[in-house]
Amino acid sequence: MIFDIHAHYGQWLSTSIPDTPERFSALLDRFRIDNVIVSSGRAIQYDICSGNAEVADLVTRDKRIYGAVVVNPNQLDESLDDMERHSSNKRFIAVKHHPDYSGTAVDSPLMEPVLDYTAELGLPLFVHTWGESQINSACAVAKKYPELTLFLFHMGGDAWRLAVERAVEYPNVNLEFISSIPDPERIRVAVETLGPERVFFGTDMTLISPAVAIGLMKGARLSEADAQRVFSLNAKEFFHID
Amino acid sequence: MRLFDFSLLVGSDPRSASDCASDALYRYLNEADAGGLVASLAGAYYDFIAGNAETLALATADKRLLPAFTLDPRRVDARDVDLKAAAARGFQALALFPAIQRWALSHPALEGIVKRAAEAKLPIVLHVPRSESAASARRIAQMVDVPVVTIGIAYGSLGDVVAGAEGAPNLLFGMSLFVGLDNVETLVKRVGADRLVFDSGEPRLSHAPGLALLEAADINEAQRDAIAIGNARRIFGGAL
Repeated sequence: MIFDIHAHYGQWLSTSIPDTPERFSALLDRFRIDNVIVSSGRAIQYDICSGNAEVADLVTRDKRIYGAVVVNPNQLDESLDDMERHSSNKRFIAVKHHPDYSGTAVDSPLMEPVLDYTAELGLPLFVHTWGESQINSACAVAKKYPELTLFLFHMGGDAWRLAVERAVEYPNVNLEFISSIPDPERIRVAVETLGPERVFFGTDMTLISPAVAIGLMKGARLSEADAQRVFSLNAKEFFHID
Repeated sequence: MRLFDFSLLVGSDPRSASDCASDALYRYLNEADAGGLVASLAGAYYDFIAGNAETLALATADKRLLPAFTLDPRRVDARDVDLKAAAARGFQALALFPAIQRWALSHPALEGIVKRAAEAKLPIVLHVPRSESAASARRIAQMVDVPVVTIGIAYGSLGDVVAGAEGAPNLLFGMSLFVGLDNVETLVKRVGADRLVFDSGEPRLSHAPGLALLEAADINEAQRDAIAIGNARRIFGGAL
């Protein structure tokens, strides 16, 4: 069983084949992904409204697919409107922020209305984290909003050891491990330090091939029980999805 | 042997807590039924003379390993190194580490080095930064008539690689950082399976994602085998 909490739908610079709902579902079949949470590549890279709308359509076509509303404090009103609109759809189960593409740190004052509303809605916050600064920004939010659960996507990238250390301090911080840098220790150290319950499986598809995440899990040499936790059980329990 | 890895880096890595010792390397070779081109990290980070001695000792101790000689163009004595003598001692390639040593492919000493490598009939392996331009690698490849393999260019540069691969049929690419969806398929289609090789960075980095990527790629078995080991056999011939 695989529950992928970190996937995208949309065009990326490094892929030459456009996404379609049919192709996306075929990828789930090919890589045996049972459930996936998708944020819009269009929303992250360009325009949140049209991008979130694409994912809203996508989730109606395949019951395996759930959505994360992309927010951008540069489009604050649109972000709040989309959070309201899509959260009423029970297929949207998270909020996603990307600091690089939005040019805004997650703990920026500009993000406060979004963070307040995310906490009010009771949704988790998915945050792209790469490097020390972004880890610390996410943890600042975790400290300020103890009722909010944050998922540090990429677990800080090449600063993953810091992400693991900081996650020890904040029980409302979980880690998702996907990275194009195949450090052999990252998943194992995260599991050993935090416990398998706080490490989640993500592929970053359709930007990255799911084979990479599956390979990273194989290289981590986790116990069968811990692997199953990371592959799917943690997400099924957190999101209450069978 | 079913897999030949163009990037085996052994020793100590001051920028990583990963276990880069030879035991970790042998574990990988045994598990993956692999061999590869090995270089000591001492040569990359510290002193190429000491590093080359370590590299040769590693390869002498295990016939699955082919030794890669290294130089650091930032050192003035790199200009004096006899690469034909290195080849005579058993080194099978010249590996250079601009990513680790932080110099660009425009380094003024590089042209002389690669031409001497070609005279010694040593294939050249360039460990470049992720953002390195394939056009820069092509420029190097066009100076010589030996294979030039770039390790480290990543999925964000796919278009750059496809364009840069034109006009330099001796330029090859390590595939493991082309992690983008359909990247391997796209490269096989547009550049050719004969221009891709397997590379991992073991034991410093894990081979598992790259191998999973190769095994999952929607390509035929001949293409997969070429990337896994066939191209290496062509490059290294009887040494492999």
